[in-house]
Parts: sequence; structure tokens; C-alpha cells
Amino acid sequence: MLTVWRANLIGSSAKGNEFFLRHLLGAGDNATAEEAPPAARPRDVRWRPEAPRGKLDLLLALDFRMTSTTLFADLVLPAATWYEKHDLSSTDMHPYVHAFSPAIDPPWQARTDFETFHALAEKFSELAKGRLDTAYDLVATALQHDTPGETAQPGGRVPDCRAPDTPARPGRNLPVLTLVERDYTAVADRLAALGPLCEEAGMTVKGVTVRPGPEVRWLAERCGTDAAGRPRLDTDVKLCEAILALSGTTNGRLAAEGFDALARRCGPATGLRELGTEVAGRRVVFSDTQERPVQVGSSFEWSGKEAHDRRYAPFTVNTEHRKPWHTLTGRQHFYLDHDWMAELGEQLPVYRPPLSSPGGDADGRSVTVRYLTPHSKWSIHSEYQENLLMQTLARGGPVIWMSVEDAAAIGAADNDWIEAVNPNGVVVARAVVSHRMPPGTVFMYHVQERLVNVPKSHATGRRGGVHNALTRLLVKPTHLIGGYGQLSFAPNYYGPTGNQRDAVTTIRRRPQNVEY
Amino acid sequence: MRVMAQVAMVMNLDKCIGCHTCSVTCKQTWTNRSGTEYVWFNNVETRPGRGYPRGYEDQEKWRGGWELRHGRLVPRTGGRARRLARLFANPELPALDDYYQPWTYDYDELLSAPLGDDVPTARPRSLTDGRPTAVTWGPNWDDDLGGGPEHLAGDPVLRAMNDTVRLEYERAFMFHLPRICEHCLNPSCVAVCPSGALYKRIEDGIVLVDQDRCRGWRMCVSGCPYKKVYFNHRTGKAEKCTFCYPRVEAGEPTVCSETCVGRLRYLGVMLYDADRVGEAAAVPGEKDLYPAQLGCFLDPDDPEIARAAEESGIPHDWITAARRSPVRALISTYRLALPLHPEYRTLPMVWYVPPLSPVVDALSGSGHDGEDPANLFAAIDALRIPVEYLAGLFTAGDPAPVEAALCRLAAMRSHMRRVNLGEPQDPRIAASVGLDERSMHAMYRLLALAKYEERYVVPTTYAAGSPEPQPVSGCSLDAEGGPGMLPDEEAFHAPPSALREPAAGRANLLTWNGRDTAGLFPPRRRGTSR
Amino acid sequence: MNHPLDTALWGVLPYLVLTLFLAGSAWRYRYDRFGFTTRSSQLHESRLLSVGGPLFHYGLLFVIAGHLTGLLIPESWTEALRVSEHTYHLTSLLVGGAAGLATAAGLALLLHRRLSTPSVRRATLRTDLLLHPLLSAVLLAGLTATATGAAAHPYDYRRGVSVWFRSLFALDPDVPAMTHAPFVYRLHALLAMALFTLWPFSRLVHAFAAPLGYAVRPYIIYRSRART
Repeated sequence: MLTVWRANLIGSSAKGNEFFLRHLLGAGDNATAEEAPPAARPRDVRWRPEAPRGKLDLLLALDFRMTSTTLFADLVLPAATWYEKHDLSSTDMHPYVHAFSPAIDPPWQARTDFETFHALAEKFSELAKGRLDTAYDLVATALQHDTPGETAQPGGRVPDCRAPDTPARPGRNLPVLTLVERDYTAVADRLAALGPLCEEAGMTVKGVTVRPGPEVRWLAERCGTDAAGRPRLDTDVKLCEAILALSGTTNGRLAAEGFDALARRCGPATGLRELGTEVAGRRVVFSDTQERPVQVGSSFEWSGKEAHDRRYAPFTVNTEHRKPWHTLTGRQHFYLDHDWMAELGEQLPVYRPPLSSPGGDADGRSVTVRYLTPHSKWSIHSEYQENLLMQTLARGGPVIWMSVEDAAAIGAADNDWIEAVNPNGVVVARAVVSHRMPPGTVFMYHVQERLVNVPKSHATGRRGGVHNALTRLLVKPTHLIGGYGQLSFAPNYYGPTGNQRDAVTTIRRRPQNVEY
Repeated sequence: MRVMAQVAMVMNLDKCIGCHTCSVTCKQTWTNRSGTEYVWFNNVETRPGRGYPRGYEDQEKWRGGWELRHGRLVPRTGGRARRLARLFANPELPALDDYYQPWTYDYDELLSAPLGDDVPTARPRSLTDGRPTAVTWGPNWDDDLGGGPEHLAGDPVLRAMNDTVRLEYERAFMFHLPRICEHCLNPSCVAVCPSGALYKRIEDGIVLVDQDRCRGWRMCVSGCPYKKVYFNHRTGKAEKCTFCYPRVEAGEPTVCSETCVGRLRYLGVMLYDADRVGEAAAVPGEKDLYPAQLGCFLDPDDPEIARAAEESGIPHDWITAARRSPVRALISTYRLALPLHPEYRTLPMVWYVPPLSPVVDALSGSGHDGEDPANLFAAIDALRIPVEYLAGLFTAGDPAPVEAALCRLAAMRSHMRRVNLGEPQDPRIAASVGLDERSMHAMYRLLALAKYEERYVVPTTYAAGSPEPQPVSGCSLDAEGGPGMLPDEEAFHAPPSALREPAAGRANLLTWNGRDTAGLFPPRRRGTSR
Repeated sequence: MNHPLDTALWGVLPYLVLTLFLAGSAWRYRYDRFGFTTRSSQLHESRLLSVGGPLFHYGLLFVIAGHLTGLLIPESWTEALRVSEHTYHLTSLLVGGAAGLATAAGLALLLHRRLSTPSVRRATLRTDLLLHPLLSAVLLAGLTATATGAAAHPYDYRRGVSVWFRSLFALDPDVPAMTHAPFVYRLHALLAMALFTLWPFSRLVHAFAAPLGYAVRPYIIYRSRART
């Protein structure tokens, strides 16, 4: 089951969109790619002759816009917008935290995310009695960055647990395995309370552990306690309060405790203790953020410093306080001596030519070009492409930017309908011809969706796809390295990325009569 | 000499990133209603480009602005007689196609499409006639150079250049030009209005359309060479950028300025000699118009001027504001800002600091330091954006003032670079552009740091002692079809439908629904039981 | 003795119409000055308009001038100026006829434009649906009347209709002058009265806005912000 919470997976982020439609959702798609021939198949992973389709049992979407995701979802729950709920807003690149405050209640049947998930949890817990009750789960987690797992494979040697004389050891050459007890009947209660683990095990970020005992006691008073004596988190405001209480950026006591720990590790000359002292008295509560955006303070959780007279820049704690870098050597270095890096010849940064170069085109009617999906000037992913004002300021529908030469090669004028195909799918769009495009490359800016002004494809007779219809995910083997210094997994930091480079497509000018 | 004051604007094109926030916020404030779907009081053009409406700068075709006939200024669309003779069909009026045909989408299709095996889509629908349509033009069609050389060949400034500009990948150049109404000192829109509905305000120079006096002759639309007066096809009245006068009167910046992401706009008071305006607009040589307009501006630091200003009734805090005016600094003191198309002879009051652009690779490619002042000044006329193009926009083709402005900007960069790198100062850099170190720093502070209070120096228009009679019914902008008077939020997206109810307090018979009687008769007197 | 209907039509109705016309216009000017506009649709379509608009309006100007001459200037005055009835009649027939035809042609073109251009059609007001047929009817009736003037012994309206018209302002309506006029003249007059009744409540008020003052007005206008 997949819950898409106000994101647009199917219309935006799913790289290799047609394969998502086929294998994840079991819906119709426009991919024509064939399975890899026997010679190109992996040896060490089991190969299934029929790749499963529609693996997902249930797609649940929470949103307030009709997107490809909500259209394909089995269930859509109407979500509240920003001005209809309490919430916190911040980003890591600017130094403020701010509250969302409701100007009106969510209209009609829309509910805030908080309410929705709690309602689901309530019903789920109720139904779990006598069905799921308590179960035990063996959870495998990757060897993570900033944990002892980083030292699991010294020298970058990977002891292959399939070799006869190499035992399989969790946390060494196997993932960390943990037995977890899941009381499914308690999900709702636990969602609505702050559990004991943060005090018992402490909160660890970047290898530094702090203990929020005073904060938990404070939250108990601020929010009340439940039957088990735990602080309640049964409203969105209380949850925001808890977040602010438990983060070093808004709670100087925790920041100072963390900086203290760092100072013990890195030495008194680093001035890290003093950095903590500077912020120790800061405390931001939710009502502060409701009045105005509040500046956050320096914390051991981030690599950059914050102050009233300077803006955040990453790694200033490292450079100005001589905290070692989180690498094998404690310094920045280029050379990586891991077995797998050596196998691929990438111990040092090296140029890799594109996987497949666009061939010489010109059958006179089509052109094969490199296909890029850059971020547009108005968004990274977030522009709502159905917004009439934004469409009016653009071209009114999905477009592909082409060079003058390529457009001439296929006889396409500016704003002509074109179709771009490759084995991954089909895109129908209008051409924007510009001399600022180099020949041989086209841009289809990110996330133009297919719900506005996308006709049926001339090639397939079905609706054209999103920009990601022409891409496919590739996994780079070196991104699977773990347990070796900075080459250890951390979300959004190091790990298998959504890599859709080297996409190539064939474009032709299609008949200008379109059907919707 | 008759001293008058105007709140003027300067835009620093070095900083415009073409985000169009200004366009969107202005539209949301003023023109997101029926009749003004195609209207953008503020628009941002990519240059080179055809602009909005397309090709508006071709005055051979559109005949906006003024021209000299036997040494006298006459609107290019002709004198009074011709205007009255052409009253019934203005031959120079742009068609909606020249702006663009506004459209919406069948959004409802996404919600109401029947179960099927393919994804539904919202197709475009015209907002003018309600029929399904194809999108073939928009207010920002050539954004970021979309359209290619064939299309850009329609850029009137490009066409007028002597040097051929090769629009190729290796030499591609562009910048963004945000435009609002210029609130000219010699507005041709005011001149051509047969009913006298357009006027320039004495206190702040803002040019407005009196909605009660406009009779829909639509001469102002072609009269304006910048095409910044628009016709509301629902109400039948002309509308234009109001310089957000309700905000400016309260000392607040215009919406476009306030929301500008790049912080490139400046607002400030300019004192000018109203008696010199006619003469300045009528100087024979087009290239002399820029210096002539500069000559109309008065120095508020001069005690004589200050006294004359007070005698003219300009409030004291306006004179103070004029002294601190960032617009005056950029226009008169540092001579960085230039007027847009002075050859139209309207004496525009929204000026622009031209953009610096990279020195062509030839220079730095050969190992020279591109930022070294000597090299930089020599390379000014080899910048990526041709000086001739900028001159065609800002100085009626005279490259000298553009080069001077660019040299000053380049000198500022060189000077501040030494400061940032901790190198010893070289006073020759500032001297070479006629400035000193102090003014270099002041210029830097104004342009680069651009603090809010220093960007917007707008005095209020409060005048004690003058009783303000309350308007008959609420806000004077509360007219049916007026800004903010959307009866429901969907109206912007919806295809045209039956005309709607009038706002309470004012009648509009042309759109009367036949039922509502509010505003049709004098208000009942209350409490007169005696 | 006049038939009551005749009295009503030619002795009472004109005053009602005149009152409505004046009062209505005053009311409109006071309460709906915003609505005083041409409601130009040139933005939507300008090719047909560039012919139809001037044709209709210039034709109309001449038609109005002709009406003013014919209705207000007594025959005795023109005779005193040595303009014979024959000359007058010929002039009014030819010039008036041409003007009327031009107006009708212009109106036909404008109506065709309004009906066949979707965006212009959408911009049509409800009062236009009344106004345009009425205006067309008035024009057609007037043209017909002019055409009858080409007959061998045409009706001399200056002795009939014009007399009646002027008598209205003397507050002594000459009803028989109208009852003895040919049907088409009476029809034209009735339709015209209907038009004048509709006038203040439709877009026709834009005629009052004729910008005659522009001929002598300075180009640039300054106004103070303070309400005067």
C-alpha cells in the first residue's frame, strides 16, 4: 500500500513513469521496451521471466488538486491547504521557522493531514483487534552514515557472505537486523503520544546523542499526558510544539548539550562549547512562530552556523571550528579505495561518456536527440502547472525546447505539435524553437503534467505521457556501497539516487490536428 | 519655473531574473476580472523579443506617442481633427490577437470525465467566445528566447539596428525588461482622449483614467506608444496601471515593487519644472531628448528650488523625500538610469539601469583579466548584449550614455572587488568614471545591498485641513467590473457567461439584471420622522 | 374632432416620450455615469467595423442633420431664402436618401458583424437585443418614407409632419397634421418615439458623449487629487 501525501508521484516525480504505471499500478502504459536479453541479465540476482505487474494493492492519495496521482489513486482523501491548518514551515537553506495558521476551517469534507492520519490510525487500530493484534517484524536497515556501521568494512574490503568461509554477520556484511514488536492495536494511541525511546535511547543526529529529559517533562506539562503517562501529541499544535522542543535549532539547551559532546570529542580549542553557550538560552515555542517567522539558532544537527548577523552557509562549523569532516580521513579527500570503486575504475573522479550517444538522425522526418528534464525557472517540482496565470505566462501546455537546427531537420516551426518517443514511452507536446538550445539536445522542463492540454498521441492513440514518460531509472552500483566511511547510506545524502541520465529520444513533427 | 513633484520608478535590469512575480501580483490585484483577462498592467518581456502586444515598438505601424511636425508636437495618430474624424473606428487600435486571445481550460473535465481506460485532460477554451481553442499566442510568448531567430526578427529594436545581430547559440544573449505605465510628463494618452477622461495628477504625477468620464472612444490605447492603456471589453472603459495610487498615497510601494523578488525597483520623488516639459519634448534631435528630459529635473538640495517648491504647494516632507530619492540618485547623480524609448517624446518617468553582461569570451579567453578596469572599459562595446541594442531601447540609438552607465557599473564592480578581496584601493578606478570613492560605495549600497527603506522613499499624500467628503457609496473603486469586485472566485477561470449583478451602491444599466434596485435611486433618508 | 387614439398617439404620447427621454437621461447621467460608454467591440473585430462603423455613424450624422433641417426649419424660411420646394425636395431626396442608405448599409454590416463574430456576439447587451431591431425598423421605415418621396406627387412632410413636430413645442399639438400623413410616416414617427423611450436606458447614451469639446481642449490635463 502506498500513501502519497500531497505529492504528485505519478504526474511528476516517478522517473520511468510508464514503468510505474505498468509494474506498480498495473495500469495501461506506452512503454515498448523489451526485457534485457539473456546475455545482459544480472547473474547474482534472481531473474523472473514475467516481471510482475500492478504490485501495489492500494494507492491512497491525500491532495487538494486533481493530478495524475489522484486520478490513478484508488482512494483520494481531500486535504486541507496551507491556510486551513496549523503546521510548521522551514527549509534548511534559510534560517527561519514559521507557523502555518488557519485562516478558515477546511471546507466541505477536506481535513488536515494531522486529522486524516489520526482518523486512519483510529480505525486501523480498532480493526486490528482480533486480526493483526501484536506481531514481530525483522527489520533490516542499511549500515548508516554517522553510526558505527561506517566502520563495518575496513579498508573497503567487502566480505561476501555467500563465500563458503565468510560468515554472514549483521552489521558487517549484512544489514543491521532488528527485531521489532508491533502492537497494531496501539497504533492510534502511540501516534497521539510521545514515546519513551527518545529519553531512554536519546536522540542521535550525526553521531551525537542528546537526552531530552527536561523537554519531555516540559511537554508533559504543556500538552497533558495520556493513560501511559506519556506527553500527549493528540493535536497538530502539540505536535508542532514537540518538534520545536526536540530540535536543537529551536531549543538551545539541546544544542548546547550537543555542542558540548562535540567539544569533548574535538577539543576545547575548537570553540564548540562556546558556540553552544551562545545559543543555550534560546527557546522558540509555537506561539512565537505564529507571530512572525523566527530565526533558528546554530545546532550540532547542522553543519552551518546561524547567527543574527550572518546567514546560513553549510560546513562553517567544520571550517571555522575545525570539526573534522565526516570522512575516512576527517578531511575532504578525492581518492576512494573501496573494492567496488576500484572494480569500476572510479577511485578518482573520472569522465564517463554518455551511455548511448544520439545517432546521426535525418531520415528527414525525425531527429534523435539527448533528452534532459531540467528544473524550470518557476519551480523545482512545485509549480502547479494547471494554474491558469502561470500557463498564460508560458505556452499554455507542455512544451519541449529544441534547437533551430533540430526543428528545421524535422520541419517543425515554433509551437508545432511534436511527438517524442523512445522505448520508455511517448510524449506529445508543442515545440519551442530557440537558438539558445544547442543542437542535439532537447529540454522538457520538469513536471508539466498531462492534465492540461495534452492530446492523444498520433503514434499510440492514447494520451501522451508526462515528461518522465521518456525516462527510466538506472541504479549506479557504487551507490549501493555501505559501511565504508562517507560511502554509507543516509537519506538524501548517499544512496541509490533516481538517476535518469543519458535519456535519448526520437522526435518527429506530428499531424497538427489533435484529438483530446 | 513651475516646480512639480512626481513619484517615479527606476528598475535595475542587472537584477531582473524574469520571474514574473511582479506580473502575477499586479494581475491578482488589479486585472483578474472579466473584461481584463488579457490585460497585464505589468508585464515582463524577454529581450530580444517582440514584446506585448507584439511589435508595439513599431511606431510606423502603431503610431503611438508624439512626433514633430514643423517644429510642433502633434500626436502621431494625428491632430484633433483627424482623431474626431476617426472616432467611429480607430484605425490604429491593436486587436485582441496582437495582445493574445485569453483562454482557460475545461478543468471540470478532470473531475467529471466518465470512467475510461485513458487519462482525461483539460483542453483549452477561449475566454472571449467560450469555444474550444488552440493556444497560439500569449503575453509572454518569447520568454527566455522561445521562438527562435525567425520569430525574434520581429523585434523592432533589433530590426532597427545597423549591425546585424546573429542569433546563434554561441552568441545568444538576453535580458528581461519589466514594463509598467511610464506615467509620462508629456503623456500622449491624455492628449488623444477626446472626452478628457485621462489626466495627470498634480500632486504625484500619476496618470489615471476617470472611469466615470471615459466614454470608450479607445483613442488612448493607440495614443500610448508603450501600449500601456488597455480597453476593458466588458465595461467598455479604458484601464491602465494606476501606480497603485491607494498604496502610494499611504507611503507604501506599488505592489509590483513590494513583491519584486530581485529587489530591482526603486521608488522616489522627482522634482521637475513643468514649464520646461513642452520644450524638452519638442527638441528636434531624438538623441537630445534624454539630456533635455534630464534638464527638466530640479535639484531639491538647491535652496532656490526648495523655496519655489514650497511656494508651489509641495509639502515639506515631499521635498525631504526628493532629497533622499533613490530615483534621483540613479537618474541625475550617478547617471546610471536611462529612459525607455525617449524618441516617443512623452518624457517617460520609469527609467532603467542597463544590464551588464559578460565580456565576450574572446577577451578572457586570451588570458586577460576580464574584470581589470582597463580591459573592461575597452570591452564595453564588446559585451554580450550589444550596446547598440541597449541604445535602441534607452537613448534613441545614442551609444554614449549607455556606455557611460555601463562603465560606471563596471568600475563599481572593480572597485568593490578590491574591497572584498582586501586589496589596496585604487582611486583611479572611480575617477575614470567621474566619481569618487564615497560615491562608489554609496552606489554599491544602493544597487547591491538595496535596503528596503532606501529603495522605496515614498512620502504620503496626507494633507491636513482639507475635508475629504466621503464618496456616495463606499470605496470609489467599487464599480461593477472594478478591481476586486469579483462576485465569485471562479470568475477568472470560467468561460464568459451571463453578465453579473452590480455591486451595491452603484448602478450600471448596461449590465443590470433587471431585479436589483440598489443604487438606482437616491438613498432613503433615515431618522426624519419629524 | 380627433379620434381618441389619434389624440393619444400624437397629442399625448410625444410628451410622455419627451419626459421619459429627458428625465431618463438625467437619471442615467446622475446614477450611472459609468455606463456612458460606446462599449466598443473593436478589440474583437476591426475589419468589418472599419467600414461599417464610419458608414453608419457618418450616414447617421447626415440623416440627423437632414431631420433637423426638415423638421425645424419652416417652409416659409427656405422660401424666403429663394430655395424652391422642388430644389429642397430633390436635395432631401438625394442627399437624404444617400445618407439613409449609407446608414442602413452601415447598420446592416454592423449587425452582420455582431451576429457572425462569436466574441462580439458574446459581448452583446440585453438592451441591444431590443435596440438593434428597433433601430433597424426606424431606419427602414424612414428609408421607405424617403423612397415614397420619389413618387410623382410626393407627400410634402414639411406641411404635415414638421408642422406637427413644431407644434409640440408650442404645447398645442396639431394632431390632424399627423393623422393625415401617410402610414409610413406615422410608422416612422411611432418607431422613433419608441427609440427615444429606449434611448436613455441603452447604450445610445453614448451619443450624448460626442466629444465636441476636444476640438478646443488643451492636450494635457492636470487634476488635483483632492476632491473639488
